[in-house]
Amino acid sequence: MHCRDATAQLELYLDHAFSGPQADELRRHWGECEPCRRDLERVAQWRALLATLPVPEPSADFSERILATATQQRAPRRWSSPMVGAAVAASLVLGTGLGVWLPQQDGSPAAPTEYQAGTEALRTVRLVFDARRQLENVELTLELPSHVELAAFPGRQSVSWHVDLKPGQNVLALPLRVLSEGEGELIARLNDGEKRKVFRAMIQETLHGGHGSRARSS
Amino acid sequence: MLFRFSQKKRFETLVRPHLQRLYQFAYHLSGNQADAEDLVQDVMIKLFPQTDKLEAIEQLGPWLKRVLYHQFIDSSRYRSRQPDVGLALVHSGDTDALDFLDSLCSQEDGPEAKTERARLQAVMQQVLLSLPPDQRVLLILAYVEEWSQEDISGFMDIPVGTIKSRLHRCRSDLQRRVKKKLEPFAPCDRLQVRG
Repeated sequence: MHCRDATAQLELYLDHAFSGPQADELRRHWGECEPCRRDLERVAQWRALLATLPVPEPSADFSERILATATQQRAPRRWSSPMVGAAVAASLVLGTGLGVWLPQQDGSPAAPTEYQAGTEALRTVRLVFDARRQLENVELTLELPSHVELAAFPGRQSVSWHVDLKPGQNVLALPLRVLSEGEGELIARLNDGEKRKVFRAMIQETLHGGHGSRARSS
Repeated sequence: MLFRFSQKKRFETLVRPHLQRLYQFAYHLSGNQADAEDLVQDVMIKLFPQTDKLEAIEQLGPWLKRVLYHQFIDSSRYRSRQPDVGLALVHSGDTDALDFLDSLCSQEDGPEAKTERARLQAVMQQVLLSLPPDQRVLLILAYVEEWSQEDISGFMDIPVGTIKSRLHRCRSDLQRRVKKKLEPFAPCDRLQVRG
């Protein structure tokens, strides 16, 4: 076997692409040819280094946190949304002391959690949509103003997921964490792949626990 | 409520065995732990509503990696952070590019070899992260994940023949860059001793 052929087949050999006589012939050549054997060792070492590139362990609660965050978006409330293409009937309700139902880790129903104004700076915003018919796999995107964030998605100003919409009223309760005093628009976008609907609501927070909202849609 | 419990449990049962490997793949793509965890989280958030679809997938592991890879590509922070670097022309069969490994090949597996290995791997990781995402994922799948070229072809939707040639170029490019990074001085920086 010529050295050129052995070199050309080196990577395939290490990919275990050869067996039997082909592999034997290569091994025979490397046993007899010092430079080619050196090449084989270099490439094998290179590949071993790549295959064992170190990866730091993820954070201690990685799996549980990821799964909890992913599954919490399916809140135990029926979703409603403006029927895409139809008239939108939507309202935004903002209040203190509202109950928020969140699923427990084991899936059992949870008692409502009361969030009081001025303590954890958490507000529950409820988006209420009327749907005339059922829609499946509609993409819902929430864009938050900079002074609030979703309690379940810290650090994110935009969250998207797919929902199935049932006929009638659907309430989406959003526990929001207030980051600072301010005013800004919450935007909810619905997209079923063909048509889109946008719902906007102004969310206002003041230092003295005052707050308010105004809703409109387009 | 029963339906929601069932979906949550089904989803967790499906994806939990793959989370660690997904994180490792995400780490190789992104280069840091926080971004890797975020990537996995983003994928899981996206997929939970599609639990029914996940149950129908035969080989969920590779499929999840594909979703994660596309999530990574779509993430604008990576597009803006990584400059496009063209593939350099390299000679085929240029195994001299790996001559820096000679010392490692000749060493026993002692503390010095381990230290040297760690140093080399740090440089390799650094260079890998400097490559464009499509080159990076090709090398990661082939040499870190050790996928077959047929599987990579399916993952990237590229013919096997194209995978072979790209892999060859990317591999040589990575080796050349690593070797260059290991050189202590550029030629023009070397001292000239004049008598």
